[in-house]
Amino acid sequence: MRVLLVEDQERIAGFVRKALEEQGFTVELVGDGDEAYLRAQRERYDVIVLDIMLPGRDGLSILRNLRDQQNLVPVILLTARSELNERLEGLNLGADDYVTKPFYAEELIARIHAVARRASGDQLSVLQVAGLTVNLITREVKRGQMLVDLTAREFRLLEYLMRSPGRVYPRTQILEHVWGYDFDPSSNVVDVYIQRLRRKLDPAGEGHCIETVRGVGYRFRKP
Amino acid sequence: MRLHSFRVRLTLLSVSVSGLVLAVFALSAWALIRRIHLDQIDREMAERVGPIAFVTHPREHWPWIGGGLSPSYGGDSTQARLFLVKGGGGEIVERSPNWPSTLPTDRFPAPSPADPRLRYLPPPPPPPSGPRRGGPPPEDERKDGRPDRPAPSSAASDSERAGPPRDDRGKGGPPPWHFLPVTPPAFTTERTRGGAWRFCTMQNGEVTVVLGTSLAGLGAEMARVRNGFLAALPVALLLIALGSWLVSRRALRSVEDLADVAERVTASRLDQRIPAEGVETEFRRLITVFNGMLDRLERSFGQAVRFSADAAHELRTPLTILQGEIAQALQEAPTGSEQQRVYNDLLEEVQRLKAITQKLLLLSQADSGQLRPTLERVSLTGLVGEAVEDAQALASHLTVTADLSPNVAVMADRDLVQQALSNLSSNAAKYNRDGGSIEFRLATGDDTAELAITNTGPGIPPQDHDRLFERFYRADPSRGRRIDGVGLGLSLAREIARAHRGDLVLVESRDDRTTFRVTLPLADPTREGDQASAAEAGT
Repeated sequence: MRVLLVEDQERIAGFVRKALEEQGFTVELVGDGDEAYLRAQRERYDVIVLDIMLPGRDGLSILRNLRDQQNLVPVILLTARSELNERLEGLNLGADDYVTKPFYAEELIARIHAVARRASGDQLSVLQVAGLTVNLITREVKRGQMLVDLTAREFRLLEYLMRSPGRVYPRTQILEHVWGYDFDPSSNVVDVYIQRLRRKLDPAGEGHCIETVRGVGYRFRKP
Repeated sequence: MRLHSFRVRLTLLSVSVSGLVLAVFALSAWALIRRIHLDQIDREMAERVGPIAFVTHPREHWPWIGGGLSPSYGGDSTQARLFLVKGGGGEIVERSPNWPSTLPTDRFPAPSPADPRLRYLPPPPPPPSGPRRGGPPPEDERKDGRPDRPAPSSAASDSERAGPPRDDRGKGGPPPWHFLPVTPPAFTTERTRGGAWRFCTMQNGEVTVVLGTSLAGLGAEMARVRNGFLAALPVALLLIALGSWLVSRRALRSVEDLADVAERVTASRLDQRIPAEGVETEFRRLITVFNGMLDRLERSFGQAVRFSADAAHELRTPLTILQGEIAQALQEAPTGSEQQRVYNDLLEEVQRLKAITQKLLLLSQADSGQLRPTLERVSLTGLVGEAVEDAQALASHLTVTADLSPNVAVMADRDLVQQALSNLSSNAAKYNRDGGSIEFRLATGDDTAELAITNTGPGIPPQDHDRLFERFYRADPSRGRRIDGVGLGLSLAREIARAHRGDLVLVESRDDRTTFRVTLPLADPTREGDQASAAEAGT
């Protein structure tokens, strides 16, 4: 998957790029608005990740011009809550999604997948890891041939972990993705849901697909 | 009547004060006029009775004298006269035919010869030097008469000079035509069935002469005066009331302008000012002070809002970098290592920092009226359902029940509403007791969705109900940060509800039962999936 990352802050661009590349994406990084606009017109990308505050042409103006030219490439905006109006304007201008700064790379990855899936149809809509099949469209989860019934929260949690098997997800990051950034950080809601998820996915206790990383969080077992 | 209104009070005060003054004035004027009229009547009667009483009259002359007092007995009732003459033994010598039967004649004294003022002194024997004709009365007669009453004395001397010649002098006994000493006129007022009468009574040694005048004419006159006053008084009071109402309105217009502006002043409209031109000096100072206060308020408010926004803005880049780098380092550290745990702790602190700046930013936006939710159609039933699920999962020691209307949709900012819900729900779990319960009820009103969240546990002290939604409020300070984050939750939840044109209120907090209620406007069912603009949401 080919991603154009438009971000002028080098360090932010650095860790985002790294995370995206680990995910197997091809990342092109641009730190200037005018340059980004030229590239977006010239090349074909699966997703453009667009910061709003940029030297040269700003993100919203790039988005507006692309949409004016009937260029429907999926766009994810990087915004801050302080710019609620930017966010709204971005959505009205035809952005496909937005990610609020500060954000986790995994959050951005999940949004990129969701946006790309919407743009390309069913190709990317099934996750399959170690006998576990998750259909992101029908929201069907199968363990082998066994259908597993999950709640919305459990499904979101499983999808998040399954996206990058082997990657460590700290509790606070899981909490932010599934419950929102404001959920009481002292609660053990993540642990409780992980337990429930484990029981549902593996009622016999044959071997958990979700591993505990002591003192940190969880990860999906790499096959 | 609005007695709390300054204008009403001012008008009432001026009306009652001037009404009192006018009433006192009218009463004294009325009394004075009456007095003057009475004096006139008295003087007129004394002038008529005096000449009659000064001289002796043969009995048969009295009817003739009485008849000569014009206007005669009877006649015009307003000018009617009464006439009474009493002899020395109390017998009635003459009485006018219209004398009222209800008025006893013994009200008027009979002449008393014993009265030293009336003692008849025979003229001194003629001096041996020869008779004097028409001379002045002897010294002692003048002295025994009324030396302190010049009028009768001079009248007496005049009459003596003009009187008929006294041919019978020296024959003994009182002369047939003689000047008598008289008492000064006494005036009384008597009320009879036919009306009030004013009487003038004079006595000489032989008879008491009483002349009465009807007061009907005076009564009518005084009634006219009284009616005049009664007609003028309300008109005057009305004019005074109108005047003071208008004057006070003019005076208070500045105050009302002030109130209007103060009303229009909200966080988002601090630029309102009151014009001070053409205003009374007394109010100009108030307006200047008020405008100055608004200046300072606008300046400091603007600074505060800008500061919060700038701070959050400036923080977002370093926080993004910090979080991203730490997360990256955590991935690269050996799994389960001490190093990884340290990174995790750092990440949690960054998370806390993020949450606080985010909340402060939202609150500052709410304060400046700029918290504009990005509205989309959101299933409130779904959001509440997730909150219920969380509560059931988290609070295994509590009974969590839910009664949710299906398919309740609102136009809302999903993230913000979720944040408000998780605040309320985690509070309901935190401030609960062992074995307690949490109850979620979602229902729809006319055009609002109503969510009530009830929990058991110790109630919120009544004195804290007002402070509950204040920033950094905590029900129990000693429990500190461990239990309530930074104390912004309820305050923010209410701001979020209000930014959606809804509200968050504490419904009740008694022993073992505390209920909060969130209201949010329902989504228009005809606009399925529509994306409303922020401008429409307003503030």
